[in-house]
Amino acid sequence: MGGPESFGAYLLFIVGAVLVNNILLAQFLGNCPFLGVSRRMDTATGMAMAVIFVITMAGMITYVVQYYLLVPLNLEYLQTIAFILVIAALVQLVEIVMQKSLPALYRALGIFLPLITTNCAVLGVALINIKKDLYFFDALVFSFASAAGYGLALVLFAGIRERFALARMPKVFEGTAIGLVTAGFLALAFRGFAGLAG
Amino acid sequence: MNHNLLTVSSSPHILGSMTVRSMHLELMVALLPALLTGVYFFGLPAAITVAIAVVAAVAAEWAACKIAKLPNRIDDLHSLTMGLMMGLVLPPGAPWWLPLIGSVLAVVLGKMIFGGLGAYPMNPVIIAWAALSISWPEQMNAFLAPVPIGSGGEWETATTFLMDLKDDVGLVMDPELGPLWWGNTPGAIGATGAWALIVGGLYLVIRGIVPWQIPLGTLLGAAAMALLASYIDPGVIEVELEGFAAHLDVVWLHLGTGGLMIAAFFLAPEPVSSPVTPWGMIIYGLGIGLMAVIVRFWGTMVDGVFYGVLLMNAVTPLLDRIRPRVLGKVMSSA
Repeated sequence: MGGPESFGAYLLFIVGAVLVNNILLAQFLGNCPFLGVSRRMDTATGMAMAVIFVITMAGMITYVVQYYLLVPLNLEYLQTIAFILVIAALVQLVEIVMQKSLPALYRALGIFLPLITTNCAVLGVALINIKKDLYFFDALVFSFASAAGYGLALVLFAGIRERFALARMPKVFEGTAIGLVTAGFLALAFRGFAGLAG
Repeated sequence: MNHNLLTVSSSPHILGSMTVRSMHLELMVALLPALLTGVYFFGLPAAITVAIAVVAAVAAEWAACKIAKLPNRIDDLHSLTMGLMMGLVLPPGAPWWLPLIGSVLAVVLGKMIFGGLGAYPMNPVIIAWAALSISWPEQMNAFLAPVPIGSGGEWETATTFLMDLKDDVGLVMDPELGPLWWGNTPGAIGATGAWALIVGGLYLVIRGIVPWQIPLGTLLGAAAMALLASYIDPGVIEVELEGFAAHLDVVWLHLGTGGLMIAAFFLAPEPVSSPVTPWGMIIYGLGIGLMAVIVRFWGTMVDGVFYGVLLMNAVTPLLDRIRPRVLGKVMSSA
């Protein structure tokens, strides 16, 4: 088991998860909703909140599942299925709550809400937690920081993309094409953080 | 009888003389001191690099307009200015294809596919620079030792001060500030002569082309972070700076080196990709300055200022949401 030791190291650990090893722009996980819901700021923030909730909860629960269920029973080979099951249940929870309390956002997110289940960032963070051999609390912090990084990237991207509605760009580049180019630019900008932490 | 007295027309009623073309013309005039400093210290290799970059940028814009069947807008001089800036952030004596690819990337990838001037989200010149420095780090870090025109020395490759600083923090002990600020040091063509960039930049600020908030914010952010870092970074404390003056030297050092000045006065205040509100501009500038020095101290990249500009460009749409309060609007009590 390992994790950051001092307060300074902890700060770097968080910065590393949010910016340097940004789950979206440095590890390229979860690009599907990144392109899908970033055309408008309100859907992007809604998606960011949903993903932050799911990743943080999933990070905690899968940790418990791994160390108190799979390892004692020697069932580590069921890791992927067990984790996906946890994530799917969480997404279902978010979906039910959102449908009742935020119907407008629920409709705006459309198919991308249930698709959080297959968002590789969620499973990715859960697996990285185990791979990094973190303590429970560190895993919780790491999950939340990674998810916050995801949200940050999504909101920045949505801000940029909202402006494209006003630009007269060539037809062939409209929509997802220019989105991918811009995502590349954003990843280029995040390259500047290389080596700052972790 | 004067008929003009009763003419009714739509706004704008007062016309300024500034056009997109004249603005870019003044921008190029402001870049002249930096260009001349670069050519003075790096001679023919620098001139060739800049020339290739400029020609390639204009040619790329012409070709892109032809292919996309757009009206040709070369005469707004934007591509010419971009080519000039592209050349100025490259190392002198770079292989001929480096400025060529850089300018084509800047014009086509950075600008034209978004719909041309006014539509791109991030400064195209810096996009091209970042793409080049990630793709060809070897060529992008091969700088020349300065040989002033007429001194008749040989061209030798050299490392910049910031690269040396990465390897040896002790260099902050007794920095030679003179050559660093004067431009007599290895570095990118137009980014070494800090004084020349300040002269050009101040001209733009006085002419109202560059809002003063952005350069001020950038320099303040960099200075504050350099001062703070010189106190808290264990690598610097090891060499034990004595007294406030020594710490201040670190600040002057970081302000004068690398791409900070060209970024602060020319690349960051790029009108399309920078914020429009005064407070937004200040925050934008501060962010660039902070990022520049943080990367210099703790990152793997040699200089963070261009990455800082890219990053703050990405934040610009959010900064533009900081709007002045609408007068007379009643805030609803939640």
